[in-house]
Amino acid sequence: MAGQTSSRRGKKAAAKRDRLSALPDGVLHRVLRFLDARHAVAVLALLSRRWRHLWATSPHVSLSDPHHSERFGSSLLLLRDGAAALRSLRLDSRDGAAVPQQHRWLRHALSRHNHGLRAVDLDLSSGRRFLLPDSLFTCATLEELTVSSIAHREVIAPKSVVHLPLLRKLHLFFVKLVDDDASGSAAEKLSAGCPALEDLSLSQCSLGKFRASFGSVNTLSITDCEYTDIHVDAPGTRSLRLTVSSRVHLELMPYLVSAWVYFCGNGPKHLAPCGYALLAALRNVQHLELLRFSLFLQFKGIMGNNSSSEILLFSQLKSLYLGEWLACDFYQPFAYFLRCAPNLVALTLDEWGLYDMHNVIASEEMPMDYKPSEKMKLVSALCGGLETLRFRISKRDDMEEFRRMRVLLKETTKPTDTVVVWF
Amino acid sequence: MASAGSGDEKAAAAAMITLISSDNEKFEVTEATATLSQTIRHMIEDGCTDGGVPLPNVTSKILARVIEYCKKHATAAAGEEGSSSSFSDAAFLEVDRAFLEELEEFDDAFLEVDRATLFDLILAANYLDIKGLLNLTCQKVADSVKGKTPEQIREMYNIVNDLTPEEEAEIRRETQWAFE
Repeated sequence: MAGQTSSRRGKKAAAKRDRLSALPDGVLHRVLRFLDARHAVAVLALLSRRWRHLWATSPHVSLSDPHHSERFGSSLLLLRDGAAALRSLRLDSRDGAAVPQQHRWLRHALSRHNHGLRAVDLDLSSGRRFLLPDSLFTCATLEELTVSSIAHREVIAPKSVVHLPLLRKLHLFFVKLVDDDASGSAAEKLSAGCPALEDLSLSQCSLGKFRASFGSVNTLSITDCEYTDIHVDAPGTRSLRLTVSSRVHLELMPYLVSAWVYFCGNGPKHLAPCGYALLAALRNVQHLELLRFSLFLQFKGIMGNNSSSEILLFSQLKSLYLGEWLACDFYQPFAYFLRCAPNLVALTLDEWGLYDMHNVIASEEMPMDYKPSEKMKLVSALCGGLETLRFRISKRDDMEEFRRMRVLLKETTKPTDTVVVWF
Repeated sequence: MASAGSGDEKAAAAAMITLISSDNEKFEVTEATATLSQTIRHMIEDGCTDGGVPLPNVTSKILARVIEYCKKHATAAAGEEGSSSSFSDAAFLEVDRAFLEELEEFDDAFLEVDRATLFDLILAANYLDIKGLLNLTCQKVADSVKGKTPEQIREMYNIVNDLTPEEEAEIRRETQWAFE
């Protein structure tokens, strides 16, 4: 158009620029990662010459659609650019019929031709056993491994030694660790074979007798697992998540920043008389969340010989969260920490968290006829250094102590932040 | 191996870094915020941040947004001395859980930008090596092409089809297995 100025033309040209295709390959590969592989091959490859081979040079292969046929997956792995290293592989085997070919794909990715594989993510939640290949446990370049199964169907039973020198992250969900009579326990093999492990998460797994030491782990999570005995030495742990349902022994975690510990069912029964040792391992923690700690304290003899003679000091503890079913269950845990956490800044007493977690209104675990042995001494806590106080308390509870506390709160300046939620 | 939060470390955490945009605007940020960028983290480790860090590829407008993102996410990664890697797994903590929800809302709102800004953010995230921001922005692009035909995507992003009809037929033949 005759009247257009050059700057306007420039602006219009800018608006018409193809900035997507101008992105570097690495960035476009990252975009492809969020898309189904079929979309990358069947649609994006047809956009322009720039896009034609992008799928083939991508270092990430995700065959996560359970409906990817054998022909599709095999073609993709075979026809991708052999010069482009395969860095990550994701397989989703929710469809049992796909297991044989997926097993081949995994072995292909692990084979020599592709050494350089860094991340493997396997969702094996079909009813069919996948049988993880041994080569998965000797992949020298592997940094991240995630395996999910259902109902302990998938078994982690490395036949020989584990050799994963670069593995940083290991997440196992609903799998079973099985020991080999000849070569020793799976836990020991994993701990010996993963010297660089930083992030270990075991969720709903069957662990049997789990004894291991992880020198470099900083994030440790063992939740909702079945086990007879856990003994873990992970001195570098900064973040811990643990469900105590049987015997647990932890070595001291001197650098612990945050910990979440849930005492459930019969857990505390198995801890006696070593409960003191478990608490002592956590004594440097700064942020602590304890669920059903009242169960722990109610169990006679749980502290062994240390029950009265020695008070364990949580001198670094700044924030404490207590989750219980009933208000009266707070009395003992609260009294306990009143003595041993002199530097506490934030306290949360939550009656709703457990309901929330279990998604139920009443649970079998919920004690019906429990009478507290101690009175809650909330008011005395207000005189300390507490700055934040939070409650989520049921209205049905006897609120005498809370009423007194509220009266007192009106007269003091601390805690500066107080939240009370009634439900 | 983890180390204890020594006094030195705490002093370092409070240190400020000056970032200089392509149009010469200066931004003061904490080291914790700046080190969400691997590029800047390496510069700090090499001790070459005195006198400010020039970022000739990033305009002040985009740098301000990037810093906004890093500030928010650095608070998330902090937790006194927790590393950024431990945060996602520490999300079970009641406080963290609430914060994580807040963070998600922040990310959603953060992504409400025009396409030109989105590309500027992608390039800045790539150059500064900020993995979280790069994933966030790339995911946004991926979502926008999901379920679309080649024609729709070309129109959306002004992609010129430089494939000859013969080439297009060849691609379809070569990738027949993907159309089944």
